[in-house]
Amino acid sequence: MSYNINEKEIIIAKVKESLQAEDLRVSPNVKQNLTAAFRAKHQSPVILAMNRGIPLWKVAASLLLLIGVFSWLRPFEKETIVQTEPTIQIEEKIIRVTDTVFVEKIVEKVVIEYVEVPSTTKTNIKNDIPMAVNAMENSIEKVIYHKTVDLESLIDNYYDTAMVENIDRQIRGKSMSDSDIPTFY
Amino acid sequence: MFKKNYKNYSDEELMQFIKNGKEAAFEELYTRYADKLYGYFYKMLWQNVEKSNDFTQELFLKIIEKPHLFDTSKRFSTWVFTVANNLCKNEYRKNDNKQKAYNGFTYLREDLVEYNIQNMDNELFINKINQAIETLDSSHKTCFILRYKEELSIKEISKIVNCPEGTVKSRLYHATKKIQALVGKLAARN
Repeated sequence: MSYNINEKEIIIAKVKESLQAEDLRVSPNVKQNLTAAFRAKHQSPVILAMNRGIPLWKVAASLLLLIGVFSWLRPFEKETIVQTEPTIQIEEKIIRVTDTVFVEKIVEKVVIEYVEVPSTTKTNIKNDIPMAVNAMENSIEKVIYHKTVDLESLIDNYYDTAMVENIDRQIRGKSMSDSDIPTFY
Repeated sequence: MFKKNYKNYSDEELMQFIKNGKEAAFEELYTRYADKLYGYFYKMLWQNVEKSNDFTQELFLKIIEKPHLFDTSKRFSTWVFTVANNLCKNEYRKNDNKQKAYNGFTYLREDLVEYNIQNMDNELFINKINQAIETLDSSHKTCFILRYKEELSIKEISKIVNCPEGTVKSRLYHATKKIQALVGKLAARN
């Protein structure tokens, strides 16, 4: 099927005219729904309540009831809040504070007692006694060495390690046995 | 309170008023576009009256609920038909109607051959055109309706269908050719 340009234009013109002349109308319900939707989105809740058909007398009665309740509650509110003048009482209290400081000085007293057992070493004692007389006596003489060292005086004044060690060494130097170990009390 | 007359305002200005909650502006816009959009949906959605009403309502609800989506610096008609076209596309995805359209085309050709020019009136002619339009592919149908029913420019159509102008012209050429083939004989006789 072939047509010349003129025929085609006529056909298109006819189609166009028919399409535009066609009476197509949207349902009126659509507009109602859309208007309701528009109002629901944009109108205030008060106006919406009015549109829903809440009678004015009901609104007025509710308001009056609210006012009545508030006016009834107001006196109670007044009673509860009692404004009194504040009384200021000044009380003077003198507190004497005495501080006593006790300083307790704890001093550790170390007593070193050294008991010397009879020594087997020979001790040469020079005296004025004649050798002949004292020879026997000296041979049986038991030298008892006893020395007590009070460290308190050392600690209180100063602690000279070298001196203490020296004393200790001197004491120890007198004995060679195990029983020479000093006893601490 | 006096109602403002919105008849002298442009579509874009009306949209601005709608954003501000002016009901009268919405009514004016509805008056201008409701039937046009209904007609578009009617043609695009297999002449289904219920669907057309539903889609028209859906589109206007979008305008009410999300007027900010419209850029007032652009043309309202282009935007609204773009939204309408997208709604139709979604519907096409749901109902794959290609087979139906093909069957309709076969039926129509036989019908046209038997059609007697003597009995033809305008209403019947429109029916035949509608049947012919139904045979078109959805993309061709969109271009054809927007061009010959809504009288939009090629540029506007290209924006609506999101295609180059050349593609729109090509689609229009093929659609017109097909319609001519179907109704040409009747039109010539008329």
